[in-house]
Amino acid sequence: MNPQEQFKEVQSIVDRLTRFRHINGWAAVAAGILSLIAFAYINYTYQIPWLVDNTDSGNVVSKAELTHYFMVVGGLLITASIICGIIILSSLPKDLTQAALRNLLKLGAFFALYIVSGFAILWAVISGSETITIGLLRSVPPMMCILYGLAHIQASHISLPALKYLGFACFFCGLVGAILPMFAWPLWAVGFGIGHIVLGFYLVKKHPN
Amino acid sequence: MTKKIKIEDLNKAFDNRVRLGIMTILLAQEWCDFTAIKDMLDLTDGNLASHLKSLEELEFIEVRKSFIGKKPNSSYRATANGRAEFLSHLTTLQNIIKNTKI
Repeated sequence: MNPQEQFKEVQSIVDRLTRFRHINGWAAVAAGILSLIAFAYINYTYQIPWLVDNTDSGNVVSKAELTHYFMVVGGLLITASIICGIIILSSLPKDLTQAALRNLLKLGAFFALYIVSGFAILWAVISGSETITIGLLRSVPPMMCILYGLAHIQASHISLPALKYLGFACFFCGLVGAILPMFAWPLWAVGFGIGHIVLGFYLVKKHPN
Repeated sequence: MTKKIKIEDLNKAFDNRVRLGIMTILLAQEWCDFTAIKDMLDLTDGNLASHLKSLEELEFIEVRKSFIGKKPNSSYRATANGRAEFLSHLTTLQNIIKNTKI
């Protein structure tokens, strides 16, 4: 082996040892399904006309409805996060290196920061007047998708590189949602829900152990 | 005047993908068992055992044998000498690469 090959080999092993690579694909599938359930439930309950392009003046949601709305979505998303955490932590190998463990903690911090900023955005929307227009409501998912996408792109540097695909998908859905607000929530369901399910099955197939 | 670094300065004991891998893992982890090293480097039992034996003979690594239930378990760690030799090997590698870059 020449010096370059030896150095590359060492780098690749160090990379394998330090990245937190033990993400169970089923955790992502569970997160995706739960977010789609949240989206379907809300649409079924309130029949919110997301796809109708209008001036927003006639389409308002009361604060009480919206609080219930976000309690359900937030509750399901927190449940999804807890399920993901339990699945990932219960499948941790015993020989996890200190560096990988540190990166797992960093991952936890990234996503905790995402959840806190997500709720801060929601709070900023809900805490306004007694009624909220559909237009304002449509501004939430792009912000959440972009934040979540950035969290995943960042996480892909210290964990599985495949996380960046979900990151870019969410980021893209967020950007399109910001430009075309009519599609903001359906795109959130695509990026967040379907994106997680696709990533989950990809991880299950690529990293079965 | 700085000494010119040559390929011959590299430690021949580490001039192999498997031994390089073993030493890298043992530098990152205190004790590591046979199965974990085998999984990380994707090797067969026989291949790994022969390289571990040669590093053990050079006193670059030490072994601790124990039982988990009724199954024998061997764990390995790099000795102080092994760590020093491997780190010096890496420094030499780095210097060679640096010097050959245009």
